[in-house]
Amino acid sequence: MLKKKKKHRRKHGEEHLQITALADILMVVLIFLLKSYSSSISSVDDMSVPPDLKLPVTSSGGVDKGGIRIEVAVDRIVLQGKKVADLSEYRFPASDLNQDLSDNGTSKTLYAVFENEVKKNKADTRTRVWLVADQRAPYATIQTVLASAALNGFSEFKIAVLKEE
Amino acid sequence: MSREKKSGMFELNIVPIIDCLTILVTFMLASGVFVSIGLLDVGVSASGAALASVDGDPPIDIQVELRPDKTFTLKVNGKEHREVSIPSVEALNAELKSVQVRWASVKAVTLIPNKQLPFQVVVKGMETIRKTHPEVMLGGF
Repeated sequence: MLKKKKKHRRKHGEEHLQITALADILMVVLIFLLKSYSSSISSVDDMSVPPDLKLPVTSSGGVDKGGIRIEVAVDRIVLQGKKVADLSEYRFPASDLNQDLSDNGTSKTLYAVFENEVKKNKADTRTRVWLVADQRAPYATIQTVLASAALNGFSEFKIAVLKEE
Repeated sequence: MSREKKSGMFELNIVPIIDCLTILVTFMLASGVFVSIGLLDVGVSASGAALASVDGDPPIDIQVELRPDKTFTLKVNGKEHREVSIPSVEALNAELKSVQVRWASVKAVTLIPNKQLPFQVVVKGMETIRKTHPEVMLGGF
């Protein structure tokens, strides 16, 4: 019956492309993409990175959620999505630095912000602090940020990194 | 009446479905996020702040200084005293492995980078240390 039908089509110049297999493949790809898309959305809520901020790259690093997130970009410090301090070329203004570290200092602004975070939200100091810092930022700035948090009692830090494939 | 209808056979037209699927797949591929972001644990070795947890009193204290020319100085204090200048990441890894063999109970290393070094170099240094010693603390405060 089918052979007859095919012959009939060939005679009349009709050719039907078999696209059922293609539809099956597309459906599988779509399901896979939808699955990975939905899981990436949930992590992007927490871990989106501003376009001007380049994360350091490593081949290791786990994934975790929850905690206070602090971003160090070229011109600003952002805590929980809100700009809290200005930077100039990744550096704190000299007037904002205390002289309480060996050859650098904690930031007056950041210290107050972390202090406020502990008081206002009754943040548990065991709460993790996520540092989302630009790979070009000097260690002096990173140290200032970490020290400002550590002196308010925060002791668990996590650094956001881009994993090498 | 067509021949197919007469014989009770009909073909479902799936071309529009394929069109929709192709557009959806293209959209998903274009808007997908293909970078994976990880988190590295780090302790802070700062006076006045809670230090990263260390089990009891460690027999030795290991410090790695990261210099501006990206070379290292390994300092071991306590039951063993050593200070070695290390020219490369590979040499540091080998040196830390030999320390780990002698002092397997010591898991923590303090990394003291130069303050002018970019964060990427510091993270690479941490990554090297983590291969042998899982607890890395940042120091120099």
